[in-house]
Amino acid sequence: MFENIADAFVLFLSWENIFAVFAGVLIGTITGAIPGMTTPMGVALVLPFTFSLNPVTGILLLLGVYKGGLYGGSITAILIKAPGTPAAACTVLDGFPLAQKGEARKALDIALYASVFADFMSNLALILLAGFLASFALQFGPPEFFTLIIFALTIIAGVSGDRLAMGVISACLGLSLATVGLDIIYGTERFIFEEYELMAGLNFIPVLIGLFALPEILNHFTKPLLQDLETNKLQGAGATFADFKRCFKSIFRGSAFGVILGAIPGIGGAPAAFLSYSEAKRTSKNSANFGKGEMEGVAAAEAGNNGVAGATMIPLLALGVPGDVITAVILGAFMIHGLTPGPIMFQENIDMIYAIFIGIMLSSAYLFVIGKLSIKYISRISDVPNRILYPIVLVLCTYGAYAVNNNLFDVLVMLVMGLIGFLLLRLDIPTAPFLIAFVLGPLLEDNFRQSLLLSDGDPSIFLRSPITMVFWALTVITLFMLVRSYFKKAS
Amino acid sequence: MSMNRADLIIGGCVIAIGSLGLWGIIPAGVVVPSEIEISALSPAFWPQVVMIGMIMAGLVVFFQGVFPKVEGDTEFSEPALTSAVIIGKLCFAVAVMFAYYYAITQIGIVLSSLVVLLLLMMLGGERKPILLISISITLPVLLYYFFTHVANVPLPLGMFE
Repeated sequence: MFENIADAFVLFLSWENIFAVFAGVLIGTITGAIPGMTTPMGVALVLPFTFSLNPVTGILLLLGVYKGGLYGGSITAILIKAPGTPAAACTVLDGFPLAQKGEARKALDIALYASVFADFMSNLALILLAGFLASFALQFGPPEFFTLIIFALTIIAGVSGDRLAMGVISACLGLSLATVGLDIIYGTERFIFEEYELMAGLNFIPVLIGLFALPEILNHFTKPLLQDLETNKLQGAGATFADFKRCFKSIFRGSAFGVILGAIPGIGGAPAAFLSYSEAKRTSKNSANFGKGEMEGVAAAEAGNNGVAGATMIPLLALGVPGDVITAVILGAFMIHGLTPGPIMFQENIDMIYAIFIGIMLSSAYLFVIGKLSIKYISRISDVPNRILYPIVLVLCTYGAYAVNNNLFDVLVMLVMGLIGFLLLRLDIPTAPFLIAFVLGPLLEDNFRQSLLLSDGDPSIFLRSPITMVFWALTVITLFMLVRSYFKKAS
Repeated sequence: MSMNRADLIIGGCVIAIGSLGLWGIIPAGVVVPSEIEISALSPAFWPQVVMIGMIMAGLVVFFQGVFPKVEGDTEFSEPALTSAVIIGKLCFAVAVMFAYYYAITQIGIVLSSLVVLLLLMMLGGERKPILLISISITLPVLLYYFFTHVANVPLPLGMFE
C-alpha cells in the first residue's frame, strides 16, 4: 500500500496536475457564479480541453470544476437570489436576506467555510470507503453488474423532480440513442441508415454539450432583452472564527448528511442541503431567525450541499456507477481517456486512484484560497450579461464538439441534440435522466447479454447470488417508496 | 374536472413515438441475423424493451393528464412562446446555428465563429461596437491557437486551408 501511495505521489507531483486542480476549482467557481451557467454545463465545456492532457490531469481538472461549481452557486444565491443549482436554492433562504441586511461578505464567508469543511469531510469519506467497496465489488460478475446498474438507474428518480414519468421518458430516449451503432455480439447495424459516421455510435461529448449547453442558449432568446435582477453589493464585515464556531455543529451535521446522502446514487445535493437546513433550524437556538438572514442557515445549507461532492465519487470509483449527472459526465471522461472506473481500476491503476485522491484533497485547500482571495472579483462576474455570455458559450461548444474526433459530424450531432434538449426543456422533461441513461445504457445491455451468454439464455442467472438479490431488493424498495411518495403527494 | 392539456399532448406524442419505434423504426433500422438461438440476445431485443418502456411512461403521463393532481393545471413552467418577435428571434438563432455548421465547411471555423458571435450578440441586444468587435475577433482566434498549437487538434479553415 505504501508503495502504491509513493507511486501516486510520483504520478501526481507535477506542475500540470497542481495547476489543473487550481484551474478547475477557479473555472468551476466562476461558472457557478454566472447566472444561467450550471455545473454540468461547465464540466461539459471543459471536457474537450482535457483531450491533450494525461488522464489524471484531465480528471483532476474536471473534479476541480465540479467542486468549484458547487461553491460558486452560493455566490449568485446570496448576491442576486439566483441559485445556480437546485441545492443552492436552500442557501437563498438565509443568504439573500443576510445580504439585504448589508452582510453579504459575512454570508459569503460562512458559505465558503462551510463548503470547504464539508468538502474536506466528503473527500475523507471517499478515500476511506472507496477502496473497501471496490474490494467487495471484485466478486461481481455480469449478473451482479446488471442488477447494480438497474438499481443505479433509480437515480433517474432523484434527478426527475416531481415528474417521475417524464424522467422515465427522458431516460428511454437516452437508452434508445445508446443503442445506435454496430451490435457488439453480432456486428450487425442498428439505426445506422447508411450514415456510416454512426457505426461507432453517437459520441458522448456532442450529446452532452448539446443537451446541457445549447438549450440554455436557445432559451435565452425567448426571454425579454433586459431582465432586472435585484442585486446586493459585496459589503459588510467578513465572518470571524467565532462565527464559524457558532455554526460548527450545523456545519458538521450538514457535512455528515451530505456524505451519507451523496454516497447513495441519485440523491444529490439538494435533499442533503434541505435536510441539513431543516435539522439546523429545528435544533438551533436562533431558529426564529431562520429565513430572515440567519448565518447558521447559510452554513447548514452549504455544508449539506458540498458534503455530497466527494461522496458521489464513491460509487463512481468503486463500482463504476455515477451518483449524479456530473459524475455521469466524469464517468464519460474516464472512458474517453481509456479508463473504466470500478474494482478493476483499483487493481490495475491504483496509483492513478491515489493520485486522484491527492488532487481531490488539494482541491479543498484551493477552494478556500480561491474563495478567500478572489471572491471580490468573481462576484463581479455575475454582472456579465447573458447576451454576451451565451454566444461565447456556443462558440466554445462548437470548438469542443469538433475537437473530439476532428469531425464536423459531431458538431451536427451537438446541434441536433441541442434542439432535442430545447424541446425537452420547453416541455418540462428533465434532461439529466437522458444523459445518465445514455452513459449507463451500453453497460446495462452488455452485462445483460453477457449474463445470458454465460447461462445459455437462462434468466435465473440474474438471481444467482445474494448480491444480485440485494440489488433487486434495493430496486424494489426504492420503486415502492417512489410510488408511495407519489400517491401521498397526490392525495 | 379539467384535464391537463400539456400532459395529454406529451403523453400522446410519446405513445406515438414509442409505437413508431416498436413497429416502424426498429424493424427498418435493426439488422437481425437469421439464426438467433436466444431471442433476448437479438440486436432488436433491447431497443424493443426501451420502446415498450417509453410507451408505458407515455401512458402514465397521458393518465396524469386525464386525472391531474391540481385542477386546471395546464401550463408548462416555461412561459409560452406567444410573441411573434420572440418566436422570430428563436427561429433566427436556430437558423444561425445550422448555418454556422455549413459555414465551417466553407469559410472555416475561425471566420464563421466571428460572424456567428457578432450576429448572436446583436440578436441578444448588445449594441456596443467595441465589445462586439473585440469579442468576435479575440475569442475565435484564441481558441484556434489553443486547439492547433497547445492541444494539437487541427481545425477546419475551409477555403483558407
